[in-house]
Amino acid sequence: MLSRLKYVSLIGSILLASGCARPPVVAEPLSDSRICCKSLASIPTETLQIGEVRSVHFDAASSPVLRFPEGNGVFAAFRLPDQVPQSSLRIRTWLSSSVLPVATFVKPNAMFLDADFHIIDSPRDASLLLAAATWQGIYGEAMFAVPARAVYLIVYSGDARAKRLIVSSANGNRFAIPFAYSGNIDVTLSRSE
Amino acid sequence: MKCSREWSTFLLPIFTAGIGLISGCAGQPTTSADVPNSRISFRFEAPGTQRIFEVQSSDCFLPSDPTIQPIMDMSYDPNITTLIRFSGPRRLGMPVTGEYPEQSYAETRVAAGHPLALRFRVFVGNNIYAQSYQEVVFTPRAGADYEVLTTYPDGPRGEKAAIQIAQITQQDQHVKLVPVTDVTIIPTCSG
Repeated sequence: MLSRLKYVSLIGSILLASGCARPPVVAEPLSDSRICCKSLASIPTETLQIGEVRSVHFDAASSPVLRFPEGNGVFAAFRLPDQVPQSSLRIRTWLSSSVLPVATFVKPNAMFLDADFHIIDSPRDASLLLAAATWQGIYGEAMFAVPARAVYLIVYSGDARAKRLIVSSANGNRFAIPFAYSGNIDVTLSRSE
Repeated sequence: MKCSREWSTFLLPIFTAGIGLISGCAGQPTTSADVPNSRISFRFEAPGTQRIFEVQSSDCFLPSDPTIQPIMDMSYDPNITTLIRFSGPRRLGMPVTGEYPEQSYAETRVAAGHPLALRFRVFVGNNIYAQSYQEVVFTPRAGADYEVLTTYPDGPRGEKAAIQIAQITQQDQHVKLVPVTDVTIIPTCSG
């Protein structure tokens, strides 16, 4: 009898806990101890080609962290192709779940560096345009103009306290989706029209 | 009808889980007198019902945002016709700030020394469709008493509630209310 009571309590507790499992409105800041690199010149980069869609998964617990003007953030760094006179950067950030009360986004910011790893003065965040892709879910899309001198690109998680995105559920309830440090983004570099 | 052993084994967990899910996140306030704390008297200016939650502070809020814990659940209706009352409004022995109807205020204890974000879900008067959500942040000082007043700027038949916070001070046995100016009113998220 005792074992059955334990079983009942365990199941009930698990469901009770899962019923309350909603993400915090503002994510916990990433600790300074997670900062991976001493300088921008020492961060690992990969090459990003024109037209290529590069998917990046950020994990708040394990992705490398850097200190940005908006605070500590997870990031991915790319070397841009040579001799592309005018290009634009598209970042899609995917909603973590189609169940809106538990959904989060990574707020995608972009920082461009010159050949000497100096930060180029350009907008680091952009407004997100919401859209949906069949079978893939909901995403927010941000567009950035790539500065002419840019050689490197860092895509990183922006301010978790930034104004949240509002998404309406099928029954009309509105949810202000929190920004998180975990999530998936797609990065695409295109030639400007 | 008597449940077989197999059925009871199957139904008991569902029943337990159901209670858990129905109760949702409805915990009880965790603040005790053993930690640095303040006392708050939540008071209605006019009849109404309100549920007050502690929440995580943010730049804006929507009613669908998650809460941390319930702080107060109270109702003030001078025309109530219920004969049996199981319990009265909660009292902690705070200084009396005026002669107000017994049901119009209730007292509780909150943790002090750090910003406290409170979300109010107010049903104005007897109109269950007139809900007003408000969110405010202030930092209670340990040992201090506060009165948090729910008012209706558009009148008791209006649809909007507003929150005023004052510290209760006592000097020579005179009780005085000093408005707290360092209060942040959190707007609702637009867009």
